[in-house]
Amino acid sequence: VIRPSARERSADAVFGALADPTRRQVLRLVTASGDDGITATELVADLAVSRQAVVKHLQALAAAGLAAAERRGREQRYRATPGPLGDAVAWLVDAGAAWDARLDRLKRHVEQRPSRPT
Amino acid sequence: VEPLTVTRSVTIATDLDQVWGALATTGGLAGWLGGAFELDPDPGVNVGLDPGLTAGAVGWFTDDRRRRVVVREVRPGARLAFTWWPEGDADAASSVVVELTTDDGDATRVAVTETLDPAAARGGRVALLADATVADLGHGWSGRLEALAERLSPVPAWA
Repeated sequence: VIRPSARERSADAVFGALADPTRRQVLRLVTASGDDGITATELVADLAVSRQAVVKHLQALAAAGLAAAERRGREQRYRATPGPLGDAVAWLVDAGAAWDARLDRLKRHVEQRPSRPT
Repeated sequence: VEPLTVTRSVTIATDLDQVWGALATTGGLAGWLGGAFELDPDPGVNVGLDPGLTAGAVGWFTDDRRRRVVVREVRPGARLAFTWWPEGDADAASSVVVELTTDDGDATRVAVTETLDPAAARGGRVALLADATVADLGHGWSGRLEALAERLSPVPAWA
């Protein structure tokens, strides 16, 4: 029934990245760090997970376009990048969900109607 | 900016004519789109009557928000296309194409593509609004002229 477009697949990547509660917490902290960004080591202090796990979460967020890594000296700092992707994803999600509901309504309505006499 | 496209399709176990009949009328659209859909009336002539879903028709669709709708194409049994945008925000116009196909006559595939192209919406805004205006004027003047003609000649000239 559903044939996702390329941008929808990117929306799927975003949802995949945000499906994990710890990862959502990581994104909240990265977002709260503003333009300065935050390092994996700093995040470990706020989260009850290993540094290795934090790095994995950050990489997943970066792969989905929700965070960007920047090297400063010996540090790798992460910033949130929600901007345009957020708008696009919001549109795709809303429009996709609306059409799912509409086509489902159409199908139910038409298939429940008695057939015309032939 | 890359256009955004959402594509959805569904297969309905009903023949194409019935599906088209259910989806491509003013009332049908309101039903399956899930809101209120009203075409602008044709003043003077079709007051209270559904002016019909035809290319160039202009209306309002309201669900959780109010949207201007311009019908672009009505190809019976095959294709319905319209452009819509949130009231007062023509830059956010998106185009919707609904296409019906059938392989065996017993089932109908309905495919919907909605495209939001911010660049095209801005570039096409004038054209969109011009379409709406032309259609508005068309409705308005055809109605007014016919009403005027009726008033001017209460007795048909050929009587």
